[in-house]
Amino acid sequence: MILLTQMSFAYQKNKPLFDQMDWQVGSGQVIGLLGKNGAGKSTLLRLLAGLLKPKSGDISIHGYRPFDRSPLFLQDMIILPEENYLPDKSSIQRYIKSIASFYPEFDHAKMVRMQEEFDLPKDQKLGNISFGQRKKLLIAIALASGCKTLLLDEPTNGLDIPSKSLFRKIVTANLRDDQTIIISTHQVKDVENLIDRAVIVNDGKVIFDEDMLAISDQWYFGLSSLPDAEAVYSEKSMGGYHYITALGPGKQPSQISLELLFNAVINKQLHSPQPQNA
Amino acid sequence: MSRQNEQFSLSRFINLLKYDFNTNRLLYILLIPVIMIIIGVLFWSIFPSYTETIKGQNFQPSWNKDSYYPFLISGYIIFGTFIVGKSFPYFKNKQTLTTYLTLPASTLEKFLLQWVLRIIGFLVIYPIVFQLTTNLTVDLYLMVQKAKLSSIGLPMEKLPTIHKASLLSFLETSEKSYLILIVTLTISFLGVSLLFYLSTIYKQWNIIFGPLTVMALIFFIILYMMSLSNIVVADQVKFWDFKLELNYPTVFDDLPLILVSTLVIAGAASIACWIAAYFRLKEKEV
Repeated sequence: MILLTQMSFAYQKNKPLFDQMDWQVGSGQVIGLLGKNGAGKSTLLRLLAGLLKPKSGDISIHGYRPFDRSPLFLQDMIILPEENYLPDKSSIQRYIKSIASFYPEFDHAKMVRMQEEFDLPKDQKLGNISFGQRKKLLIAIALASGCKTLLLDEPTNGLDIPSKSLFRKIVTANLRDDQTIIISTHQVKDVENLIDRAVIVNDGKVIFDEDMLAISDQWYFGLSSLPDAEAVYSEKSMGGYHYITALGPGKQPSQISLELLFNAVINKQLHSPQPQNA
Repeated sequence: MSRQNEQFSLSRFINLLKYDFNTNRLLYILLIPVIMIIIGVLFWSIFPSYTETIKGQNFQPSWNKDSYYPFLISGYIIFGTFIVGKSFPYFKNKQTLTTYLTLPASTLEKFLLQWVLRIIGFLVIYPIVFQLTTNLTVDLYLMVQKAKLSSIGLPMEKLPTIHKASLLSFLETSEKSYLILIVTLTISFLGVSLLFYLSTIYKQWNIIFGPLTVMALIFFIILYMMSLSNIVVADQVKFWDFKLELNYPTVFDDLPLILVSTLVIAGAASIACWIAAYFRLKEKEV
């Protein structure tokens, strides 16, 4: 359980990025933390990882305050930052061995399987592998760590197209029921079929927070040649007009377009029925 | 799990050691051999040669135990700057710091790793490496000198006298010099501790700014002592003529008070540096 209570944060001399934010995340969810560049997604992940200290209010993850950096908290939480560090001189296997020893529930068999699925080299120096391979290795380590909270910051940045779909497949296949993943991204299409809750952050506030099932039950995402008069939001594109409209009686739920949803929310055309943070 | 386990666990500390060794493998593997080579080459080039004994006729140049001390102390300063000055290497950028701070170990364990390796490790291992290297160099050097003497047909009496270094001979000094030694060591310890703390501020630039700060601090202490001497001693004419009487007053069976207070202040300041470094790590944000 992740619980933010009246949490405020500001970088020095800057205006508050988060102002008295309340937010709650239960166990076993895959959350897409979406937002424009500079919206505060990475900062929020850093606050959850205990890398930043809230100016006021409280953050609690499974009963721990992240900034206390208790080893018991840290062995149950793993963060994959957008810009990561791997020791260049170390070999892949040696690095996995040294990092795995910190995580009591590290699953070595799962790690080997994911290395094969991601087509990662077995034993090469970390300095000799590409940026995308480094990212895939760290994603595999995060998933194999057995941590209950996984914080992934722009995990698909630097991945090629096959790797992006592989990422979705591997995350889905290797996630335990008690694990919570928060994936921060501005590339909303990359997490479309992966997340089960969409959270949109803008100007340091959670402006939209909804389960994907609820979105699907409430809104219809369509494409038409002419603008739909009843649409709450529409966008002109090559094939016509992409729109969002209320899911009326007799209409079948549609495939959610996260990009459209995101744009609608950012343009203040669509609101979360019960915003978690105002 | 108990609160105590949350602060320190040997298995987590060993994991940290392994991680640190794996991350800085090359440094740890090469550090001691490189120090040994530098010390060895230095002494090989300055040990007296048989050519000097030939020139000096009755004079036989010698190298005694005391001749090593200036080099031992200089090594402490030079190697200490590189080793202790580069404490907390994970502070060098955002990526390394993020990884280090989120490693599942307590702040105390992460601090102790640096403290043990950089301060205790250096202060203990360096003199041992120094003694081993110099003694090995003496053996090899004398062996080569003997071979050269026999090749040109000179008697072995022309072989220069070179004593081996002995760390224990430090303790074989008089009572007064023993006290001076303690003060020197305590102040060195303070310098090392200060450099250790400064590495949390200057990060990778500590190797330059750390020693400069320590030197500035030493300068201000000297300046303070000189000013005090000028104020207290009435017949002092020149500013830099230090005339302050340091041997009095005395405490504890004729121990100069200044010596005791220096020890106390340096010891307390060293501990303060460690505590400050710990809290810098604990409160570090990235």
